[in-house]
Amino acid sequence: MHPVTGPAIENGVVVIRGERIVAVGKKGEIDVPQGAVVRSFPTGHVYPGLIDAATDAYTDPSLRGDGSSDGGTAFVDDLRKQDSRVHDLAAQGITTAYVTVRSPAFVRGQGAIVRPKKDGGFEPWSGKDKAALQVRMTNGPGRSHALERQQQLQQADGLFEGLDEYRKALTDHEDALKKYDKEFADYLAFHQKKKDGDKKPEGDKPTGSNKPAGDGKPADAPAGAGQGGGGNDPPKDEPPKKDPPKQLDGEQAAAFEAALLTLLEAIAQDPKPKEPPKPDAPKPDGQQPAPAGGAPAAEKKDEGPKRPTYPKAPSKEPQRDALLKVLDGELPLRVEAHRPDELRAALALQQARKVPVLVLEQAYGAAALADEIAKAGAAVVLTECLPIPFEPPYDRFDATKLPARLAAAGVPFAIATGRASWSSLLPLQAAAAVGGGLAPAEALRAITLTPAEILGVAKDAGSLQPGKYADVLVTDRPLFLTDSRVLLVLGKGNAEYEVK
Amino acid sequence: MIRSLPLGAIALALAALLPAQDGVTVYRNARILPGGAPAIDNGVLVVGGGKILAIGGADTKAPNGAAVVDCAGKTITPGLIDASFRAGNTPDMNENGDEVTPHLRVLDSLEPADPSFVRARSAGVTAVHVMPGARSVIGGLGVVLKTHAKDPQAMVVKHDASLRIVMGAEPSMGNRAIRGGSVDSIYYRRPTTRMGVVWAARKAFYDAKEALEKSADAPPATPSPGVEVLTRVLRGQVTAVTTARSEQDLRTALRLAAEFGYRTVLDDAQDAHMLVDELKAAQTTVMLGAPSATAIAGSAGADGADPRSVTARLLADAGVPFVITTGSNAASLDLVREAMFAARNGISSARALDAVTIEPARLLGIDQRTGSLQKGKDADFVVWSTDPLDPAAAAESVFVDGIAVQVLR
Amino acid sequence: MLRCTLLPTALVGLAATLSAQDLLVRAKTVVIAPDAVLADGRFLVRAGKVAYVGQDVPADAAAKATAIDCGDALVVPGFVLPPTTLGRDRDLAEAALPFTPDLRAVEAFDPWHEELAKLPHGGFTSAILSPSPRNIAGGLGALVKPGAGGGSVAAPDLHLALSLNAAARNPERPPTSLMGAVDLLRSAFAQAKSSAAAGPDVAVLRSALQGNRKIAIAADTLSEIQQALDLARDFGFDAVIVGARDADKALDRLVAQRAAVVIGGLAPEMRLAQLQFPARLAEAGVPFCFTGRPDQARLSAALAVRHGLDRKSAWAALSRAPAQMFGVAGQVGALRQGCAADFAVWSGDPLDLGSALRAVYVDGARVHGELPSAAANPASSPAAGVR
Repeated sequence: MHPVTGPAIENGVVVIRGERIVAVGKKGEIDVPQGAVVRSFPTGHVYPGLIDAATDAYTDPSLRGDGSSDGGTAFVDDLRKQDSRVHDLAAQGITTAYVTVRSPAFVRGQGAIVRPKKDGGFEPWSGKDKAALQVRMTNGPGRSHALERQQQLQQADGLFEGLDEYRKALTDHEDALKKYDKEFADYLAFHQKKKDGDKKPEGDKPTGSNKPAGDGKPADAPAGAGQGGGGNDPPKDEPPKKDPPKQLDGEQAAAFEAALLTLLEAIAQDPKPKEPPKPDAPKPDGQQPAPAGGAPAAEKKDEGPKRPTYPKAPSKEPQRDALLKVLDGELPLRVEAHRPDELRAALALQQARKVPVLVLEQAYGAAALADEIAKAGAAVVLTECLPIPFEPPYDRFDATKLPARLAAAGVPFAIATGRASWSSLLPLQAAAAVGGGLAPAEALRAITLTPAEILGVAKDAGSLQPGKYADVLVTDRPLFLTDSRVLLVLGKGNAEYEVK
Repeated sequence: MIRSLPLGAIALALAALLPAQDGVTVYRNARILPGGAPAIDNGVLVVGGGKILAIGGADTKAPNGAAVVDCAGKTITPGLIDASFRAGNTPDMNENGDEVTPHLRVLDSLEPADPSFVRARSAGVTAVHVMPGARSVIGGLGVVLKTHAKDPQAMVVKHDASLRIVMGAEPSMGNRAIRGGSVDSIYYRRPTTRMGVVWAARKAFYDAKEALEKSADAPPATPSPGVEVLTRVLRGQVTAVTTARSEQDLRTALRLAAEFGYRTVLDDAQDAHMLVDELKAAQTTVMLGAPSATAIAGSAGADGADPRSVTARLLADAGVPFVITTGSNAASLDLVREAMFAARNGISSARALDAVTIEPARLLGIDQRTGSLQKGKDADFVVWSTDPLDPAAAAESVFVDGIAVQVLR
Repeated sequence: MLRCTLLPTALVGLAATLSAQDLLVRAKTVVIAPDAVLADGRFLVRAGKVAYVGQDVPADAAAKATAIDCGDALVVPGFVLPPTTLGRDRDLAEAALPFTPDLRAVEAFDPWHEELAKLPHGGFTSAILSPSPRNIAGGLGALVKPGAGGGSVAAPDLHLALSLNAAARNPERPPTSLMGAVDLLRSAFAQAKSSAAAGPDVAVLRSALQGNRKIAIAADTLSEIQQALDLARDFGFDAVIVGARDADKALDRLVAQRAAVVIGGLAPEMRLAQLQFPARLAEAGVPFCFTGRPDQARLSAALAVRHGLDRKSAWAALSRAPAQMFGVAGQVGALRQGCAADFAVWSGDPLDLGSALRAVYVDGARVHGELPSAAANPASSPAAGVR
């Protein structure tokens, strides 16, 4: 048994209850609960479920050539079960995968963490379905120039431009909303009180007087409530609908309901306001709030609180929202950069914009600046880690020796497939890294615990430890042997694959 | 899930239709059009071991224990035979190294896994005659194949079934130096005109005739393989098939045959309606390629033919033997639809069906094995949903040598 | 008869003359051949050849020999690269003529070519240099080896390289079609069989038909493979089919005609059926090996093992099978007595990607890598006797 967090255990036992591991240890030293189902693999090897830190499984193949995505794109929205064996990740022992698309877009969008299920199915990891923001800072193997690198860096840096103002606008809006909620509550309370006070005897009078009021309103509207409502329709509807849940104060809710009822009655009785809302939006908008009390209040020249204006929301920009999350450290920034100069540009971006979590992808040339990457605290996700030499001009990089170099420099790195068709080769890639000089334990870590840490799911996955999800892989021979076969794969304790 | 349903249905149907390869199966209650013989209503067809064991009316005896398939409402015909079939469309069908290559065998270039065979058999065609491409004056030897066999080599029904000769503009196409290209190109050569095409053919037959005459006097020195093939044509041992579309080319083809004294079948004869009398006088069989097509076959109109829908009727009325093929016309329909077209333009249904079954079998010399439903012949037959010449007819089950190659229902 | 005595014999003998002293190679595991594996094995190298293996090594010779102690490592026969043009395609296809059976690949051999020098990086110690499959009959192949002092020719005029594949059917010269190519080969073979004809090309064909040299035919599609097998059947030779993309559709015939196949290298993206094909070939008993780049051969074999091939067959595909297919099994592909001392030292089984290549020796001389200091015999540096 190979728990990853400690040395291998001969005759190991892992106890699973529900979807979690409850105990791991040597046979005899662990209490196996009575009545437990025992699965025994006398010659087998047990590993934590593998974690693929980058794959394009479940994605739409057409997205690979699609350069139109941006930071607001979430790949989780377009994942589907694929009709192909290569997308059966669970059968290869992979129980957690980070799904992304290698599209040519500069900002590709947000990758998703999914849990592969049996027969090629999957489920998004709840709360981690938007797991990192993907940026591409490379021209690929094509011709490239230092000036282009500069442009790329500027472009990437430009993403962060104006973020402070955007954040300020958002917080300002929040404050304004709070203020509005309070004022609107006061306003409602005032009129409710007034209504309770003098309108009860002649309950239908305000509705009766609404008809002329509604018609005569346009003249009055610009001065009063119409001003605020002149903007657009939704703000009018939103406050009544949104506010009550925010302040579930019993009295106020009742008051609100009463006001709403009056308004609805007025609309129901008056056929005219019903028709206009569509043809010309601004004007009838002015009418609607009027019956609620604004108009009578204005007519009576009441000195109560003025109906507050709903604060205008700043335009939402999903990409900037994601970037803010990046700056807050909630979302890692994953930068695809291949060559040393591209990697250096990515590190410069991190420095300039103080990006808390930086992950470098496909960093083929990382050996040249492993120490700098270590110093910057960035992690690396390696793909194409097989003894197939790269084509020029990447032939000067050695894919199998890179992991050992990164390990020596202390850079956390994961080995990933990068594409669904390589899923069965994830252990072979790690084995190839061993061939390149990496210690076998480090190689195993690079496809289990380290990717769990990079993906931020190490609390639940990546090793055989009590409390983590029961993601377990059983093979007939050591995982790194070419002819080792998967015997059993458990995901959260359920069999996702079992050899017949 | 959804996909597996029809598959399962097919498997079930297969199991029903094909108990065992050597088992005997009886097809009952079908209307049988045996080919070259009157229709049998409520007929019985007994098949076993890849052969037809018995055929007849409802009282036909079947061995005990035979599987029985009820074909009520269906029509059974012999497997169709396409006497001029384009298999694949690869450059391999023509040897561009020379204009006259009588000894080349198209079989050597054929890909057994070519999708065109699958398409043909799913449309009810069980045997095809494939000839070399039309870009050579004398392209080489054709072959007759079944459209399916377990072993690709077993597809062959008849080797060296024909020698293809092509008249018209197509063989000379491309025989010019490409603009800016080198005059050393192998394509910079004669023929570049109709005259040149005929010259190449005439020269080849002249050499063959000379070799034939010499060999009559003295024991022959080993002739070149091409000449050897041509002497077999002159002796009538190999059928010459001349592809000629326009009236002009058809007349040339007949003239050349008369000049050297060989008989030829005319392939793709789209202008045959213009010289019915000559055809009758020459007692030539005509392969009517894609009668439904209005577009001209072959080299994009360079041959200037004028196809008419009444051609089949004119030939039938005049008593000129003809078969219907899909020919080299890319716009051709499935073979059964071409027969339907001819039937709708004036020939009888029986004649139309014969023109795609027993007639081509006789023409190709394979009528001992297939082409009609007769006791002892290969179990090549098609179960149609209704009369095959009905536009809505579908080839529900197709059998080649008793093996189901298509099962729809 | 065709062998040219003026061949660079200096190159042939180069490595042999360099290592005057015997070498004693010891390792925890020595793979003599796929079915002969020695634990704690050893063998003695004399004059670039394997002189004694295992228990047969005489004690006095062992004592005098320079020891190469490989410790825990695995010593395997150097891999043999099946027909390749080693990046010299242009020099190995005579463009003007389609039929050149009497041309010799050895004339186009460049001992300093970098592709050759790179062979040891993938564990290869020899290659079958072959005329390009762009000619119907390309000519004669040769067994060549890399070396620290430039490459060498181990055996000239090996096999007759024929081709029916798409590359051979050149639209610029006849034959342009498969039927034309088949006709050309048929008439040439028929001519060679008849006693009347003469000439260098006929002589080459005749000697091949008499079984003096192997005949390899490049064929990819089912029709090409069938034509190649038809030729082999009709003219009575055992064909080696090179390329063999659609070979899975003709497996029965390959078995029946005792043909061998050289299949394309495997890549991770391939279809499952393709990845499993080597296992099917092994099961059917058809000898096979992988073409492709030398640095991909090991991965091809590993992928085949991953998809069901047994390790012995995978080892064979990299060494013994190509040697046998091209008639050089007495020289390379195994570490038997009398074979060239071409071997590679791996940290583990080369089919496990976790194993690393430590060193490669050709004719007893090291051409790649370096072993950690020779613990057993500290007096002699590891490189002693090598250059």
